[in-house]
Amino acid sequence: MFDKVLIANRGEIALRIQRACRAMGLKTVVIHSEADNDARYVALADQALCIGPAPASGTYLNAAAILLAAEVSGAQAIHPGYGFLSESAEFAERVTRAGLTFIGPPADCIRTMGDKVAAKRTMRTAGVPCVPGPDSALPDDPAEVRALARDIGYPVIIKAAGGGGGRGMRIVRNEDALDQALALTRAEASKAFKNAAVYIEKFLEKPRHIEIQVLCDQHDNHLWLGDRDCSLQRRNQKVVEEAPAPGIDRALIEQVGSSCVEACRRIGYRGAGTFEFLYEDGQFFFIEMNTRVQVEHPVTEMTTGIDIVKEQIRIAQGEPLRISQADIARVGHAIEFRINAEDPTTFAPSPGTVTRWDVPGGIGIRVDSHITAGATVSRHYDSLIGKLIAHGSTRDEAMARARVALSELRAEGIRTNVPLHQAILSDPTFCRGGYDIHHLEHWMSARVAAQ
Amino acid sequence: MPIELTDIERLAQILERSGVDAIEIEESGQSLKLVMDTGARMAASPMLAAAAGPAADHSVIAKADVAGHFLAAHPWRDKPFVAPGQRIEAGAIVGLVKIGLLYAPVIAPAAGTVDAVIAETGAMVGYGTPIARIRPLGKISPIS
Repeated sequence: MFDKVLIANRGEIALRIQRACRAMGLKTVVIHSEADNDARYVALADQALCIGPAPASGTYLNAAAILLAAEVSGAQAIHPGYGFLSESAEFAERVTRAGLTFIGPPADCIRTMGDKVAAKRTMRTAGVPCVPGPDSALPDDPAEVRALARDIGYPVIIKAAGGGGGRGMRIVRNEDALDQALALTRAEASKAFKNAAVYIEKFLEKPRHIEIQVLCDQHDNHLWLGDRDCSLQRRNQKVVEEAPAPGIDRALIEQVGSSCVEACRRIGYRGAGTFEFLYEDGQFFFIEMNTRVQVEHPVTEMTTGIDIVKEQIRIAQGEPLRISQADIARVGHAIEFRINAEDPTTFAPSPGTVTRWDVPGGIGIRVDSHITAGATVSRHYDSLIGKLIAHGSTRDEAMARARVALSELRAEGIRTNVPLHQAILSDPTFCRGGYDIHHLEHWMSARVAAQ
Repeated sequence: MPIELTDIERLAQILERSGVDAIEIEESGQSLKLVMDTGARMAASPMLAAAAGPAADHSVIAKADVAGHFLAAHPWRDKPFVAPGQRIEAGAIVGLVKIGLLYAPVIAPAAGTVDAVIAETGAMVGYGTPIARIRPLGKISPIS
């Protein structure tokens, strides 16, 4: 049982993990780069170790430096957060080999889910609904691939087995374009993911992105905590997320949630995880599983009252989950707005010093952010500087609270996407809910055209 | 019989006491070579620099480049690597950072005179922590 946790991440999630640790009476060790010397969670840590200059390659992605820092500080467990090394099976293995606890799933689960073909095969076996298409890598012979594509029916999408998160994929609308798309995706896949394997699926034209949060302990307890709708995206990056997904048959979601739990049981999953689905015409299609805590986990926390990060840590300590599936509450509706340091119209990153940072509050409002007035937003990292989460008894109430909160939020010294969120909250389609993953980009193009 | 860490430590102490510079031991499957850093010992005899001028503006800082516990002296020796007033070359070791069983040297970025060793033995240091302040030699203008 560990009592000192090394947080191998930065930004808002480093603070989120630190808060969970401190509330549990655990000591925290923060590793950081020189660029993050003045961060709030660095000052709040029991021990803070600067392990390198700003670039992530030498710090937040440097497994050796992180393990050495664990040795020096005497931390017995490592929480990887999201991004960086969180889905590296090799890192999870090295942490375990060093005699430390990795706060996350077993390395082999991470590896299986990192290979999108292996993941799909596992899910299909467990009865999780998948996108039409074979659960194996494509053969070398283009003629065989043409036959497969014809069976599925155009349009199809070719995806890299090692990809994910919207990277390494190509849509093919007819047979003439197939050979070239296949060759290109293969070349890109071997270059970007060091894995040339590609697979083919039916391309869905207007899907929604719906996901299921799971939580599994080491005592064969597997839970699903509800669904999230993350369809508001720009270039495959989520912008706004909410729980629950509006307008979907609850009985169907219950069925999909149960199948996720079954898949977890079969693969011996442990910790927090997310099953991502496309949803179109009343059907769910599995696309990938994320084997870590996600940026948007707070909307599920707000509707269930379950502290997901705390549960991750308890599970890693070997504690059993104290809740059963029937106990999981679903109260009201929660919406998360990702606050980025970027230009609200061009999306160009806007690093710099935050000269003013007024945080909204009030009933149903939660702000997860590591920013304080005087903090620096580095150009070296992701532009996410915080998350505003609004909860209400209904979706309308959550939106109303979000509008007030966004109007209270004052950030100066850098530009933020707050004006974009305010505009989104006046879009009738967003307010109705149930839009597809292309809605935001279409809506933005229409706005630009109208100006 | 494998050579243990404690054997190496004992050997090194014997070499140092007897003034022997180096020893090589070869056994089946392993070899050990110990070279005593006599140069450092000589350099460690303080040669006080004459006319120490105002330092602050021109000094360069030797910084740690890894996180760990700082040691001003080698764990087998009492005498620190450097002392204030001592002349050192660029690349000289001004201290060690201990990370578990590893020791990483802290290197002087420029030749000069040691102004002060800022870090305290046993203190936790990290990447970029100032370890020693060095007054560079004569006309060489340090990169600040």
